[in-house]
Amino acid sequence: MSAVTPSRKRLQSWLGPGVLLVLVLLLELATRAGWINPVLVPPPSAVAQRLFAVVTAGSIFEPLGRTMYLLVVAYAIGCVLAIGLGVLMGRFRPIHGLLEPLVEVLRPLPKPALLPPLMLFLGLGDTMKITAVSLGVFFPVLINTIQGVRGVDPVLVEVARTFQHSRAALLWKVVLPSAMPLVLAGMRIALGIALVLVVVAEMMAGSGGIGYLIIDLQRSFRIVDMYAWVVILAVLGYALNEVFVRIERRAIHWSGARAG
Amino acid sequence: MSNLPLRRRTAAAAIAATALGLATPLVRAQTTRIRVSTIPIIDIAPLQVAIAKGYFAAEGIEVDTTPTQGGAAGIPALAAGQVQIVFSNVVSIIQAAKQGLGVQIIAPASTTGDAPPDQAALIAKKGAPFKTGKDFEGKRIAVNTRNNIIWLYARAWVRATGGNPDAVTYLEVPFPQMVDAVRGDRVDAAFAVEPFVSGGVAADMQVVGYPYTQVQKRLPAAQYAASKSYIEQNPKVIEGWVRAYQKGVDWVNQNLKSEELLTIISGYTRMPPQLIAKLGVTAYEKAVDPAALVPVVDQMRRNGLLEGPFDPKSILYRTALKA
Amino acid sequence: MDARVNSPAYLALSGVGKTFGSGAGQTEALGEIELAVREGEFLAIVGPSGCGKSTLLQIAAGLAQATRGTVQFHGEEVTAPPPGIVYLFQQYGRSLFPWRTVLDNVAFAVEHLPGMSRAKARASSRLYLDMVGLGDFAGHYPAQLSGGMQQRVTIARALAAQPRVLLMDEPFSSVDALTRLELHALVQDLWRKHGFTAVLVTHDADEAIFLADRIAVLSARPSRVVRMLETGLPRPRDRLETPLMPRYLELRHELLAMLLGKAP
Repeated sequence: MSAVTPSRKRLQSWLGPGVLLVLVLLLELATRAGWINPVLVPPPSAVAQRLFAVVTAGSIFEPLGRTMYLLVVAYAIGCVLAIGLGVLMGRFRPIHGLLEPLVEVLRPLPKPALLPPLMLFLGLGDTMKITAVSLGVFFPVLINTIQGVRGVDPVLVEVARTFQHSRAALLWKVVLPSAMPLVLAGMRIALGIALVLVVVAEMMAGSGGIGYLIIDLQRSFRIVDMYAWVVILAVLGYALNEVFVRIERRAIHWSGARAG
Repeated sequence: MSNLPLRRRTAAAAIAATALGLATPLVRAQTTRIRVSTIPIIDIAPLQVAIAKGYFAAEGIEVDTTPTQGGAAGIPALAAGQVQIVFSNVVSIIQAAKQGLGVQIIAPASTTGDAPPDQAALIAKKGAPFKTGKDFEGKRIAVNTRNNIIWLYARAWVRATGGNPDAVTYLEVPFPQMVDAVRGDRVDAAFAVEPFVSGGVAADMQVVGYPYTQVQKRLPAAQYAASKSYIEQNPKVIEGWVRAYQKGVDWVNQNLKSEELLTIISGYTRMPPQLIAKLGVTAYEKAVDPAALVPVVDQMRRNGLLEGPFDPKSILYRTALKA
Repeated sequence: MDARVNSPAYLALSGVGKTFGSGAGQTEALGEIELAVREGEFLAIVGPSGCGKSTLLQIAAGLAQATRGTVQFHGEEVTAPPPGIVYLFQQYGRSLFPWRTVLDNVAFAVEHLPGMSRAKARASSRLYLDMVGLGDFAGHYPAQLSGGMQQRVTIARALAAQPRVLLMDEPFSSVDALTRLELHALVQDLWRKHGFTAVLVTHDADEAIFLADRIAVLSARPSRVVRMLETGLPRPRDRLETPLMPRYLELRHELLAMLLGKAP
């Protein structure tokens, strides 16, 4: 098999976006020609135009800001709780034994299914949405933290002991950094889940944000605007992931495990 | 037949099935299947009566109903061809037409009267302190979907009774779940329609106001619509459907206080008959008055639901107009 | 020299035994170990593979528990890692924190001590890195260093803690022969300068003879101290010259005979 030359590599890196572009062009053709009902699926060019209008008119900021606020707050809460509990469960068998059955019952539940019960208990405001999203963030981060903590090299633990570091210092200086690659991997998964959940929560119990707006636009049959906002969501998801991957690479540059 | 060997029995069954299969297309060729998207509320009583009494069957039409949360959900199904006729509020129909979805009204469903009480009311828990729109600022009102007639006239009522409609939160709750939502404090009040209003009042709810008639008289609230293309391709079917439907309207108007009507309504809304015993059914119209649509369009403009020119007559097919 | 020979036991192991597992499947690694380490001496412990040398050292360090017997340091019983004793790991690569720079790895030894700030810890760490010849690599990460250099970092780190006793578990078994000789010279140098007590576990006879004042020879499992040799070689010892001395050759012959004779 021939080596991957620099020019071939360049070609390969264009292949992915190239396929995407071809699909978009096909869609444009299909909707303009009427093979696909352009009322239900507008031509990409129309969506792009509306998207541009939304951005330049500044009407992107309020719903985006609302959704981002919920996302960031819930993500932070979920991660902090999950990492904290994950370290405890990973290090201390009795705590793990106590909580593991509960975790195993709640973890496989698709979190959108928890929205209706949460709406009953917590109403329809920000508290409910933040709770729902935090729950979705919590489990993948928890599981990965436990795994990461368990995988700490025992030699490193002994190093901390021989130099007489306290138990707390052991957790903070040895266990947590050692677990970081897995913790960050869990956090990356949780980020995607958080975006889905916040949008669904806004759709179901909305009073603002992108999810609410998409439903609202559908209710008024403003299909092109609706698609423009779906695209905004897609770009948001992509951007969040890219930012995270960059931070992840810097934080665990020392680890052999590479971010995806 | 059980004493025949298995092979003979199987053969006999196969022959019988084939005969039936061959005969069925002959039968089916004479019935048209129409799927109607509905909401399980009092507005569609004449439709249910027409189905129950075989008026559609007599026109060679087999009607299938499929419930949705509202016209905002039913109309996309119409555009996608999953249903042929949609029961929808007029506000959603107008918006759909304006956005190019090609909907046309073929028959009226419900129209409000001159004075309260309406078949739709704003309800809250008994003893709740809400009296005017001002009391609802910062509070939550349930609507079946946003941006439709319920949402629009809830806002109009808040404004008309001295409140700021933008200071109120409107949450989507399907009609059958509204009373529970109020009871469970997920919302402070609900703009519900019959029979759920009577059902709620018979239990622990009170009427706060009548957003329709307190804002506008003779409001053509909801209609049946079909897509332009379906109408163009099947004009005879549409005429037959409207004929059968209007027979249903006639029957209901003649039997407003009957037990039979109450039983039918109780059936398709799943409300126990004793809860809706006090339900007062009002007469149904058989045509839509284009002039009555104008104030609706004005309300829509005022609340940001419509921009640019709109001619109400453009969405009325001839079967919806006075003969 | 005399004072050292007659001084009381500084780090004393009495009747130390270790059994792993229980019931039918148990293994008795250490039988009964009697060892009195003198203050300031360089003691080597040699023995055949599997005789539990590492376990013994870990017990002395307070990192493992003996099944029988006691360890006493300064007259106090050792049950947990006591201040003043530092253990140097055999797997030196794994004992460095990959997310910390070389400098911060060394600083780990002292950063948590009372009165220590990050700046002071780093300054002191720089001194120790210089001592092992790695001053230029302070900002590197362990993964960027060769095996020998990593080992030197762990030595710097251990020294930064200014231990009274340094317990070294086969620290040079995974470096190449030439690097090993350089590290021997380094260790001897540092020991002479800082005056800590050193206990070295090794299977390398030359290493033991070159570095140590005394050599404790262990038997196979369940192990006991079967011989204590005094090396009696003059210091400073030279890598090229000392191994030519008759006494060196005698010791080597005797030691290897015991080790090879004891091999299964």
